[in-house]
Amino acid sequence: MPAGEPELHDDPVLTAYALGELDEAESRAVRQRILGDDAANAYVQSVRETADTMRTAFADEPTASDAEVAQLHIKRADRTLRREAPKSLWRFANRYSAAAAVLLVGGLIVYSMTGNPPYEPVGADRSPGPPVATLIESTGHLTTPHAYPAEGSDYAAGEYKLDSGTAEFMTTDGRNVRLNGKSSVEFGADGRIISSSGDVTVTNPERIHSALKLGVIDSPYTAEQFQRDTERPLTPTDHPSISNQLGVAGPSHSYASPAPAEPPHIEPVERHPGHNTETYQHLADNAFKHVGNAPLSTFSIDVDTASYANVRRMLRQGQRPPAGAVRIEEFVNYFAYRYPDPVGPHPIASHVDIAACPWAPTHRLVRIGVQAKRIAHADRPPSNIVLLLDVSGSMSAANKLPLLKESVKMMVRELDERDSIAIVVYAGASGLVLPSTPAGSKDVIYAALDRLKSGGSTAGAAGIQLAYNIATQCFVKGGVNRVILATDGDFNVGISSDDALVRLIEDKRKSGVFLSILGFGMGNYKDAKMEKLSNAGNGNYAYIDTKAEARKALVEGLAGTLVTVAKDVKIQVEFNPARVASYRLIGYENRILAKEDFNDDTKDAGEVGAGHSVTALYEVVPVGAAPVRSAQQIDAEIQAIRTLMAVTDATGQWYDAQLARIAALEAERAVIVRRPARPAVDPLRYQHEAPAPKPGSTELLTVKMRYKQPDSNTSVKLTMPVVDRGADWRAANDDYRFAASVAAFGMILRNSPHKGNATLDQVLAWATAAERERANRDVKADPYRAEFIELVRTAQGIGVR
Amino acid sequence: MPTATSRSDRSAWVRDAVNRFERPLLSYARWLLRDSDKAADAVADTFARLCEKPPAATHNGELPKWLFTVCRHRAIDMLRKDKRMNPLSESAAAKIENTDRHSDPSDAIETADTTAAAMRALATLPGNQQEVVRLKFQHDMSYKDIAAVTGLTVTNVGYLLHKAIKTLRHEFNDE
Repeated sequence: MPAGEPELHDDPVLTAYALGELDEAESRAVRQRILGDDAANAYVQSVRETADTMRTAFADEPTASDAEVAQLHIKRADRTLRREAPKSLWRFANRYSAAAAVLLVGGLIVYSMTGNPPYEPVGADRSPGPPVATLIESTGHLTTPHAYPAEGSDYAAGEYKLDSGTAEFMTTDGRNVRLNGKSSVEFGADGRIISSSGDVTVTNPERIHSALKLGVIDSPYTAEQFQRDTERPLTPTDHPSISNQLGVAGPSHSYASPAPAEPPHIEPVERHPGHNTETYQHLADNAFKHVGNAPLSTFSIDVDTASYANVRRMLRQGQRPPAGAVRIEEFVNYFAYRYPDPVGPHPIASHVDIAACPWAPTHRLVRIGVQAKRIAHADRPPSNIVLLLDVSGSMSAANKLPLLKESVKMMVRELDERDSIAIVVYAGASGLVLPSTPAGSKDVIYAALDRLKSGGSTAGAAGIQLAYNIATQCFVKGGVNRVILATDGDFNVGISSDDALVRLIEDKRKSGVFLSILGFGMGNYKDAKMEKLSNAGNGNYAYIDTKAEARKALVEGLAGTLVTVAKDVKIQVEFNPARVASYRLIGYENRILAKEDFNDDTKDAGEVGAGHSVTALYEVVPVGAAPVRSAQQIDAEIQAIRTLMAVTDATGQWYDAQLARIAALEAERAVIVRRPARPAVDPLRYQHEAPAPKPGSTELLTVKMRYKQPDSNTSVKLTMPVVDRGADWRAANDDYRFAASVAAFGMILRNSPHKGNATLDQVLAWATAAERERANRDVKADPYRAEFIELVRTAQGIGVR
Repeated sequence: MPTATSRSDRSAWVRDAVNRFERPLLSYARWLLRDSDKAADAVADTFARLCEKPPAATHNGELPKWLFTVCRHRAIDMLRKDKRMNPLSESAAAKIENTDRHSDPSDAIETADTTAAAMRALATLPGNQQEVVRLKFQHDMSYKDIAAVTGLTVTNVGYLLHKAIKTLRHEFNDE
C-alpha cells in the first residue's frame, strides 16, 4: 500500500458487507450509512471485483488432477482393506500395485516443497501455551518461538525476534509493545516482558486510561444493550468488564463498568412491574464527510419532539438514557426559536446563521432554521378529527388513560363549531364511543371521554380501520382531516405486521386523511415504530408524560399538530469545496436521504405544521482550519480503539460503533494531512466529478429546500446561497447559542465521538447565558428553557459529565 | 441427507460425498502440505473417518465444513510429525514471513495474465491470510464456516480477509 495514503475505508465491516456476509439488518444499516458516500461505494465495488478476480483465478488454477484422484482412491482402498479384510491384503496389494505402477509411469506428478518452510496452519486444540500477546501489526521479518500462534494472532510466551521493519504486540495486561528494526522481546507466561533488546517501546495502560477519560472508548456493552442482547438479567460474571482485563482501575465516566459490589440485577430502564419492552433503534452518529467525496448532504426534516420528552423522563428517574433514545434533532426542535415568519407565496422559509462552533472553536457551526407560517386561531381551517384511543389494560396507569382524557379535554377546549370530533377506542373489540360531534357540544364530548375505561388487550388495526372510515365519511374538503392515535405503544392484535400497517396509513394519507401519534406512559413503548407510523401518515409524533407536555402539544401547538402547511419537506445542502473541507450533520441520522431523493417527488419526507419551526445544525470544518487535535493525538485515539478491539471478542453493535469511530477519526486526520488544493481521492469511475466551485465564490454553502402544498403532489424548490461572515460565538444571537448548547447536551448523552471539548459544565454555561439574555429581552418567561437547564443539572447529578 | 442405516445406504452417501468433495479437499490438503502424496493421505484419512465416525449432521451445509475441518486437523498432525517442523529445532523456528512463496503447479503452466497476477499477489500474503482467501474464494465458504474450519473467531476471519483484500486490491490496481 502506498505509504502515507490514508485509507478512508479501512473497515472490515464494509468488506464483509461487500462480500455479502452481513445479515439483512446489518446490511441495511451499512447501506444507509454509505448512502451518497461515493468513495465507500467505490470501495465496495472494488472489493467485489477483487473477489471475482480471485474466484476466476482459483477456477483457472488446476484442481486435483485425475492422477491425484486415482492416488487417493488407492489409498482409500488401502485403508478400507486394512480395516475390513486383513486376509485379502496381500491379494489386494498385488492387484493394485500393478495399477499403481501404471499410473506412476503415466505421469503422476508429485509436488514436494523445497525452499521456504510452508505456512503452518493453526490447530486450535493444541496450542504452544496460553496466549499472552496479540500481534497487531508486523511489517518485517519476525521470528516466533513456536511454529504457530496460540490462536489467530494471539501468541504464547517466548522470545520474538525481529530482523527488520516493525512489529507491534499488545499484551494481555494491556500494554502495547512496539519493536523497531533489529530487536527482540521475550514474553513471560502472564504477558510480562522478561527481557528485550534493541528498539522496543512499551506503552502503559495509561494510554488506554486517557483514551477512556476522553470518552473515546466505551466498554463493549452498556447494561441496557447487554440486557437486550441476552434477554436476561445481568450478573457480574456475564459482564465483559474490559476495565478488569486491561487493569484500568478507578471510575471512568464511560458508563458500563460495574463496581464489584453491584447487585446481580441491573435495574431495567423503567421500574414498572411487568416486562420491559421499550425498544430504541440506535444509529451511529453521522460522521464527518469530505466535501470532495460528498458535496451534497440531503435529509428529511423532522418536527417530532418525543425523544426529548422521553429522555427527560428517564433522567428524572435517575437513569441514563440509552444512546438510541437520544435523537439530537428532536432535542433541538423541542424549543421555540424566533425565526422570522415567511413572507410571500411560500408557507415556509429558511434562515441560516453561522458562528464559531463552541465545542471545536476552529470549526463553524451552521444553523439552518425553517419557519412555517403561523395561522391565527380564528383563521384556522375547519377540522375533522377522529381520536383513536388505546384503552387496553396497559393504559390503566395514572400517567396514561387519565392523562389522556385530560389532554383531550384541553384540546377540545380550543376547538369550536367549525370542528368535529369522533372517538374510536380499541381494546379487544373496536368500538365507536362518540360519533362525529361538533366541538361546540363540549358537554357531550366530555361525557363520552369520562365514560372511557381501560381493560382487555389491544387491537390497534381493527380500530384504525374504523377510525379512518369515519374520517373519510366526514371528510372536510380544504380542511384538516386527521386521525390522532393515542397509545402507550402496544398493537397486540390485528395487523401485527408493520409493513401492512404502514401501507394502510400511506393509502389513507394519499386520500387526504393524515395521522398523528401521541405516546403516553412508559414501558411497552415502541419509539421507533411510533415514529415510523406517524411519518407514513404525514403527521407528527409527540410523547406526553405530563399535563404540561399535553398543553404544549395539544393547546399551544394545536395548530401545528392539526394543520399541515407543507409536506414532504426535504433539505439539500451543497458545500463549496473552496471554503469547506468537511462537514457533519448533527442528528437526523434516521432522516438521511440519498442525493437523488431530493428531486424525487415520490419520496416521502417530513411535514411541517402551522407555526412550527425546524432547526438543523452542521458542524463545518473550513478549508485551512487549524485542526482541533493534532495528527498524533488522533493517531493515539485510533490506536487505543484498535488495541481495545483486538483484545475484545465482541461483535455486533459495539464492534460497529468502534469501526465507525475509527472511520470518523481517520476522516478527521485526513483533513489535517491533506492540502486543500489537491483532491485526496481517486476520480470516480462511475460518476462525473462534482463541478468545480465557482471561481471567486465566497459562499460557504447553498441551502436548497423542497416542499409540497398539503394537497399537491408536485414539489416547489427554494434556493438560498449563504456566505459566512466570520462571526464569533459571542456575536451569535441567544437562540443560536441555546440551540448549540442543547445539541451539545445531546451529543454528551450519546457519548458522541464528535462532542469535541463539550462538557455538561459548558452546556450549562452556554445555556444559562443565552437564557439570561433572552429573559432580559422578552418579558415573558420560557418555562421550557428553564426546565432544560434544570435537566442538565439533573444529568450531572446522576453522573453524566 | 438422512442418517444412513444400512450399509448400502451408508456407502451410497459416502460415495456421493467422495465424488463431490475429493477434488476440493485434495486441492486444499495439497496447499497445506505442499506435497501431493501426503495430501492424498490426509484426504483418504478424512474419508475413512467419514465412514467410521460420521458427523451427526450430514446435510449440505454441514458436511463440507466437517470434511475441511477434519482434513485440516489431519494435515496439522502430519506437519507436526514432520521432523522439519520440530518446534525445538533452530532452523525450524517458523518464520512468519510476509512473502510465502510456494512452488505451485500453476507456475509451470501458461495462464491468463490476471490469474497469474492474482496468484502472485496471493503468494505475497502471510499464510493465515492465504488460507482464508482460499477457503472463501476457492471453496466458497462463509465467514462462519471458515471460522469453524480454522478455529478462529468470525471477527478474526473478517479481519484477515479484510487485510488480504486490501493488499490484493492494491496489487491489482498497481498492475
